[in-house]
Amino acid sequence: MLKYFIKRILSALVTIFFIITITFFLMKAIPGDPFASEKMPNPEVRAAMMAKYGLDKPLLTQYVIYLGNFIRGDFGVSYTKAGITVNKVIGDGFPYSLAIGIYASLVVVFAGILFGAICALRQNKLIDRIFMVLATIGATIPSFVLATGFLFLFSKTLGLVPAFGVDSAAGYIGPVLVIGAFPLSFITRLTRTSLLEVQQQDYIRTARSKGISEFKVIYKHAMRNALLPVVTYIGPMVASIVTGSFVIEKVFGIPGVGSLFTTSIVNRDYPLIMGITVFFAILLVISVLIVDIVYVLVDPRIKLD
Amino acid sequence: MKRKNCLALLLAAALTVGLAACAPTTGGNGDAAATPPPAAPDAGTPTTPAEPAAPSTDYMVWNIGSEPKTWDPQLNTEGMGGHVIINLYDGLVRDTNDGIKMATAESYELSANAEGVENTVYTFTLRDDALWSDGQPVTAGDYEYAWKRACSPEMASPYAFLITDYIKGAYEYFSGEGTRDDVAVKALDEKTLQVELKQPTAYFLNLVSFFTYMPCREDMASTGEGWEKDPAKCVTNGAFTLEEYKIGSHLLLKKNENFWNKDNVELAGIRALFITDSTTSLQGYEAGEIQVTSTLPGEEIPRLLAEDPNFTSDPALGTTYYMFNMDVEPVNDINVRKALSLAIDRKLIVEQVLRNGAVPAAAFIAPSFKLSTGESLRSLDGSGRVQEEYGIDPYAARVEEAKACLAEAGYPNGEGFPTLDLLYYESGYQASVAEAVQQMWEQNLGVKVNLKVQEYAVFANTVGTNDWTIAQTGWSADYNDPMTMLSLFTSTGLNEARWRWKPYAGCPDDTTLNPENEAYDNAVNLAGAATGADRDGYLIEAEDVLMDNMVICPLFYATYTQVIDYGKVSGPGRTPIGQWDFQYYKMVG
Repeated sequence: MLKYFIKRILSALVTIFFIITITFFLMKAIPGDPFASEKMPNPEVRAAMMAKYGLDKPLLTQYVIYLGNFIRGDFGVSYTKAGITVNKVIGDGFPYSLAIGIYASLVVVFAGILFGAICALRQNKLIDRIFMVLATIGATIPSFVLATGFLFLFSKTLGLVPAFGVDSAAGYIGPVLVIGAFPLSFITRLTRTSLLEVQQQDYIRTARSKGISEFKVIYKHAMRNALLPVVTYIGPMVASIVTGSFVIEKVFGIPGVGSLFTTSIVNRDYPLIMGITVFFAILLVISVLIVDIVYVLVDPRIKLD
Repeated sequence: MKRKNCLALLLAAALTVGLAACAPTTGGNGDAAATPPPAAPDAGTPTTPAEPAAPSTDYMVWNIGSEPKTWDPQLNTEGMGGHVIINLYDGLVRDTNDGIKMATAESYELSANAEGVENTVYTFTLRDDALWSDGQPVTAGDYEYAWKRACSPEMASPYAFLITDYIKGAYEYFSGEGTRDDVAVKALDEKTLQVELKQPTAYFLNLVSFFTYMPCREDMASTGEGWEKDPAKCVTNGAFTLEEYKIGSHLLLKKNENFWNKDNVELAGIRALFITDSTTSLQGYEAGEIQVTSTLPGEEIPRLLAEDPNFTSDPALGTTYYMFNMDVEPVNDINVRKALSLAIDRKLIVEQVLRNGAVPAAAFIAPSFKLSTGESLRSLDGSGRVQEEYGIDPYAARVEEAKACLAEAGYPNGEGFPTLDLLYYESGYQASVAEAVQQMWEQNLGVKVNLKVQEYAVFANTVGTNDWTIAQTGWSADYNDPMTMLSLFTSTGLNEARWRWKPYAGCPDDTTLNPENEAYDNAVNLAGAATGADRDGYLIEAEDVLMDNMVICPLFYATYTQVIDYGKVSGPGRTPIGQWDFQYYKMVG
């Protein structure tokens, strides 16, 4: 177990190193620079600004400097929030994305598995059809439409939730539902399909023939196998949900980190682009690692090495 | 097996909840740290209970739109930061809707310099009761420090030119040829500030009202970039002071009890939001949660204009236009430029495409700019509407004349005319305007137009090169004087049109020279130093040269569009250069 763990961490470090390198050079290859949108910087001012941020040095030197700072845990200072470090920008924004992400993940996992199981057990009955229609809607309508529709109905028309922000508990309802719509639909379908498939297998028939209760058959025997594909999906899903969503944070006016991904690129805020990419990469690597471990524990057929 | 089972379930749960461990600042579930301060109505008095007494202790909620990069007066270049600075700081003078007013300075004298050139030395006398928010007196030295700071080479402020172009010795200091002591701004004593200009500048007080000229406390600003974001270090001398800054979320500004004019400031404070999504911003206003904002969806503006009395569209100091690259074919031919300009129906763009109250333009400088007489620089008809100028009818296309010009350029009915590249950037109405004009040029002139869209950061770089033909762009005022527009096309200015009569070190690859630019340069330089009617004449002359050569093709004069919830607040709109100065606002609801 320990050996496996060390191996995985080493490979994660290599992955992150490659992500840093590729992102760094790709980012510098996009045309435009961070000061392009400043009004009228004359050539002298421009040169002084480039020098101030070390952008006048050769690319390779900049890369080496970045790596050196990175190893010391210094992600640099954001260009678009003058004087504020990237660590602070991410540190202040992440709790918002994380809170929404956790609530959404809990809703998605528990409701998704529950709905999926209900559908599988009541296959082709009315309730199954209703959930499947809802799942199709949730998976196909883009989140900005859902978000705007939600605000129009529940905020502007009914006045039940605030128009923006997460200052109150009610403010979380919209973002959680909208960000969860797609994964919820997906998990519902996945659980349903998987459970239906497992129920056809011999060992389930054996269990039934032994005369144990239907509840036990489903809960103890069928569910465990049926949830394997769901567990695989949960890891990357949680990582992507807790890192926030550009659209949802923008529409609901939430100061999370999801919107930073897009805005930092638009603004050519190099330190923030790097910081946010590496941060997301680390989160993803960790969550995949956890999934792999859970996998082994759920399915004895899989070995760690 | 059983134990393993439980472990598996626990781990699965940890997958969702346990990721909190990766969170840099949260203690476990992220909720506590994510709980922002109380909602707007209570935000002003988080520690003391609300009192029933008037005036209202409620903070006014204003959506700035996007988060300002900085509100350090000498570093800022953006409008967003400008709004914040104008509310936090008080300059020597202040730009109001009634003109320039004395502010922290109670008076000034204008005199001659040592060489006897009149109107070059300003001596300001500061009021005795001017205090910083921490109670220390505002001194002339705070202004001297700030103005020298703005042009210091270490600061590399993009707006250094607002100091270096005017104050004697400032350019030398900035470029390394001189020293800090050579900058001719000096605190003669605690309350007297003297500044010597390179030449008489009629609009110097307009500059002094601008954010770059706001005072700055050396003990705070010298603590490192980002000082202004820390309420403990952001010591201010204006109507408000910084109470809280939440990255990506909002600013709280509270009334500065040490402000010299505090008795006339009625707002208890301002909650300034950073909501970038215009639909959310509008919904926030319509739900009564936002009282002031100009972040509104373009497609909703016609409806607001028609239905909502809280919506206003005011003439702004700015113009949107097509800029021609004067060095490339086919637009280096004046007849081509004329043909393109005449073939546009500006009324249709304003009334059918924009529908936001903008005014069709037949010239470069917007009607809101004034001459020394106080009258508009534009000649307006009896009802205040813009008229035909430079052969351009703001209310219709002149198709026959346009065709004749194109024929004269050698392209009868557009035959043989190359496909035109029209460059614009992604933002608001830009695409719809470009598409409308594309259609007009194709229909009226038989000219094929290829639309090229770039994101703004790339667009701004592209127009700095020779690699474009026509760019859809515009300019808005930094200060309330036509020079803010005219300085754009001088041979040593930004001059992205590459319209220069002599080489300029700042743009070494602009080697195709355009002799007509010399007359423009001369007129602008003369206008810079002259006053009164003479100056008005030079300003008009400069614009004439620009427009007679059709370096730009005007489209429309800009407007400021905004909603102010008059059921809850009252106030005078924006300042002439479009800033929100909330010391004149109050809560009424």
